[in-house]
Amino acid sequence: MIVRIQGPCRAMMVSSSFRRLCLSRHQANSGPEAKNQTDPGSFDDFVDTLKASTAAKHQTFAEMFRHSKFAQLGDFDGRMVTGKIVHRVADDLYIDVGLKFNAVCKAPAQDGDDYTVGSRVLLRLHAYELSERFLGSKKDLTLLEADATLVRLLRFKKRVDKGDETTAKDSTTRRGPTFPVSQATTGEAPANPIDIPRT
Amino acid sequence: MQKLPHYLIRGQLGARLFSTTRLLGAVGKTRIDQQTVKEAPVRSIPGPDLLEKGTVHPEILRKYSSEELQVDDHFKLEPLLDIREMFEARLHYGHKVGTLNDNMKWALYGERLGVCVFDLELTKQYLLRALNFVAHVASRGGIILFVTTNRETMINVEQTATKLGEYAHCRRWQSGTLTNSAELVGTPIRLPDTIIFLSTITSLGDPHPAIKEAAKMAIPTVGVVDSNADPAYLTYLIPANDDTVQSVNYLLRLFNEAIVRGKSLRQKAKNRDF
Repeated sequence: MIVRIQGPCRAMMVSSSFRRLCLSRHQANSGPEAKNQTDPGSFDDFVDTLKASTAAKHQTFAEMFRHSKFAQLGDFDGRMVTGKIVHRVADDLYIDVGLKFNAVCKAPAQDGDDYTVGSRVLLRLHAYELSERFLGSKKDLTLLEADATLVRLLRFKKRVDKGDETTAKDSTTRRGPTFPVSQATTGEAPANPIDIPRT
Repeated sequence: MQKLPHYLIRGQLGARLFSTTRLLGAVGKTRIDQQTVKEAPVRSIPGPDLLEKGTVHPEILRKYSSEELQVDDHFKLEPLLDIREMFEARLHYGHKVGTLNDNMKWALYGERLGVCVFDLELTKQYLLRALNFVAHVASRGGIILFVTTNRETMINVEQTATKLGEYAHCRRWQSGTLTNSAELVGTPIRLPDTIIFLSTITSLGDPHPAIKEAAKMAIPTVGVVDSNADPAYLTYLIPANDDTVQSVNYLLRLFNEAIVRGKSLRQKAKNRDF
């Protein structure tokens, strides 16, 4: 049996009382059925096994991808996602949703000025990339943008006139994708979009 | 690493490379595994026959190269590359399968719901190789040119290059800039020793003209190739996402570090000589 020991309790492993406990268990298990069980051998091997399991597991790319938000998202059409406005040109909003391309949406006529750079918005995603095969061509033609519909503003960020701050900074690098996991099959907006934790 | 044909492997007793006994296929002689042999660099210049063989099997010329080139990761850039960081910088996102270039299939982990995904284990390997090459060029005092036509990342590329004291060309490429430099710029002109493409495709969707021009001028190139890009004519490939700002910024940080390390090595050598 392997006991998962965290942090400062690891020091306990080398104490004499713990060692006696391990040995007594080993002796108790000895008998005809003990032949089928693996012989723990020396105490040092046992300690090494515990250390290996509690150390930070190095994730392979395959594991990272399998447990990523991108994989959880599944089919893009109809998914509710949160995004951050990274650029604004007149009425056009360039929104970063955590995927390869930004979604480009028009700011609504009513309260359109509230959609400032840095604000968080709720979107309904339709496509990861707008690329289509046109008649006569061998490869798809891509528009280099995602397709999404603007639902509403989530968090308003007051506009700071510090020159062009959008182009030089990568604001969403550390946190990764910011879309919620729940599927919105009916209605317009999910129950509590702001409460959904970000990765 | 490829195994050399037996007649090219150096004999145990220091026999000449093209000795007749080897060519006749002498039985009982042991073959040396090239991977385990770590010889000190040879000071002599290789003869014309060896150079000819080297065009097909460049590994035999390795021992004639300088000491820094005997090791794969001379600048110790491997600890800087973390797959988790690459993942968060979105390096693994590709385009859709409809835009996939057949010559980029080798770099993909796979395709999920129409979206190509890069294998970051491979990306790390190729990135390490490219970064070391760039660092070596910088340590020899080489001129590095950064090229991209992606509007979102253009400014960052120019700023990175300027801060490093290197060069960037992110505007419209004039045909013949490298091949016809005598006419367009004048003579004598020193061309870049390496060109780094942060994006190999122009805004029109065609491959960047500088790729072929550099190949014609025998200038080695480093290129970030996306799933829709053509990897042809590029010397060092980096299969990764080139459209996202976060991805390009991550790569620029790494190139910055590699070039800084290369230049500092050069400075140390200069100081030591004095």
